[in-house]
Amino acid sequence: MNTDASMRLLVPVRRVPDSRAPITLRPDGGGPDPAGLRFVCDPFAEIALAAAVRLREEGQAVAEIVALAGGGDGDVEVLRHALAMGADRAVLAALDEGTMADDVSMAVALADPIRGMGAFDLVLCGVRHIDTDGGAFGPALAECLDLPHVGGVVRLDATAAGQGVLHVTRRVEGALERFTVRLPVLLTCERGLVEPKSPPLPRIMKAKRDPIHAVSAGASRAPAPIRVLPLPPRPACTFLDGAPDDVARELVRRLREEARVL
Amino acid sequence: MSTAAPLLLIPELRDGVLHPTTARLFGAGTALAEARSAPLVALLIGDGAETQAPRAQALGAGTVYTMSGDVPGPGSAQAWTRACASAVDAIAPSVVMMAATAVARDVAPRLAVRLGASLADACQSVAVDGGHLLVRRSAYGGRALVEQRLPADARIVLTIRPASFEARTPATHATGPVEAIPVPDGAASDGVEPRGSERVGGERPDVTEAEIIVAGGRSLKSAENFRLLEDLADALGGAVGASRAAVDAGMQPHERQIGLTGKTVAPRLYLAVGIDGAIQHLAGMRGSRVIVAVNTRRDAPIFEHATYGCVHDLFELVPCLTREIRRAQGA
Repeated sequence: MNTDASMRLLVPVRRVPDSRAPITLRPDGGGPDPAGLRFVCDPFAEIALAAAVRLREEGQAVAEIVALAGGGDGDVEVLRHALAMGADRAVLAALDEGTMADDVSMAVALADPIRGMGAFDLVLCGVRHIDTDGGAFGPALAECLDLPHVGGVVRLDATAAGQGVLHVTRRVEGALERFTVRLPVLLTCERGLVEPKSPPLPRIMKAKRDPIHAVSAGASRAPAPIRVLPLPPRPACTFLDGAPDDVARELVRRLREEARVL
Repeated sequence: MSTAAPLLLIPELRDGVLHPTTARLFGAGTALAEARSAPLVALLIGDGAETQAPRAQALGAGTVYTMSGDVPGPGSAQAWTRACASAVDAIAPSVVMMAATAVARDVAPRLAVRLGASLADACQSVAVDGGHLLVRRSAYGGRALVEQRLPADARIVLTIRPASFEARTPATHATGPVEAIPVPDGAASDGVEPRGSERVGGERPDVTEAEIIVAGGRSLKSAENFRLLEDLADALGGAVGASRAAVDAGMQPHERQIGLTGKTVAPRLYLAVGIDGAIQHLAGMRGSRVIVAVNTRRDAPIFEHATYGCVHDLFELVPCLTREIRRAQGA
């Protein structure tokens, strides 16, 4: 932990294809065709960033918020977005595409540069990556950094941060669980924790001129080869027409006898 | 007797009993163990480990390893990982399998890092292909599948999406060896102290655990109108879900949201009521086995993914459907 009472925060961010736009898969199984693809900041990383900024807005002693992205030149924009949202410093660690596609390899590769940046009191990650739908990055990074972590945080109370503890609530299947955690700690942030706001224009303009610090990533293990495949087609929809009573009866009959799911 | 390294299942114990996903974890585990001619063993950690061991054996585990006493709750992911890793060292399995619950989401990646193993997360299918393990999972908001090819001789930590696998029927009579594994030093605490929990969503199952889901969208118009879907879900023994639009409009709580920024589900039956089928929503549910869509617009995108479609006003059709299901159950 930091020697003074103020917290140093780290937020790993990531660019992802805009999930509202259609994607075309490359025929070689290499993933979405980057041509014409629009990239945005992963919405879960945005929640983590907004949570970090809110701690400062609440009056907590926050010494520094560092945003870290892995990748190449294409990932500079997501760091500018992080700066506009309120990060103080942006760091880009050079990573190749194969490592980026694998949550665990990415965490292993980023652990070295993170250690090189000095001690952090709080690391905030998204609960999962929205593109690969993988939730392994945050927990894997916590293990690499030898930090405890709590996953899926929906409430964060930092009023006792001065005493070195946080009160957090996380969501699991059908329940909310409360924990008191000692700093330093890593939290993965779930939707509902904070609603990210669009940054104001002057901050966006200022962020365009802010420096991006480049570091090299650590060695990682080679990820297992992957292929990205299209979904198998679904058979066409069977429409049931008629009066509501008749449709209901026919639907229940088909669900029982044809689809056998009731 | 096979000499292959065992396949280790780590089912979750919640409140001292095996989690509902356990039968499906054993379904997936048994199939893979047979394909690899490997013995199937299980590790139970925490309160209830000993009392639940016979149930794990009835589901197909040979040896059951137990670790209980001064072990952390699974909410302490770092301490729990240390406990699992210590047991894995003792058991020396080739593959470690867990059901993809919130606990596994937090523990499996840590375990993979700690063991230097490959991680295959939230798998929807697992197959043996020569010297490789071929696993598939959904990605890009349910718009694609990612296939991972893992060398079979490497150590693998694998989590399975329970809804994608058939549940194993327990044998009526099963016994086998039960071996206690000591709690390792340093596994007691990791600075994460539990401070209690509360159930949310009442008695209905959570959407991630339900076999049947009735989900509603903005067309429900108000929180009160979701009562219609709750009645239908109760008739079916299912859960209630919602689109992002319905959650953002304050009609339903976050924990019911299904979609890209909500939960991903793949139940046996999914009823999409008054949901148009935005990419955001489709991402979370298109893996469902059978999809029924109720919408007033025949050109709504949801029908492109539905098995059965009803072009109807939901306020007229849903009460009829609830009545018909109750009637069919009474028959």
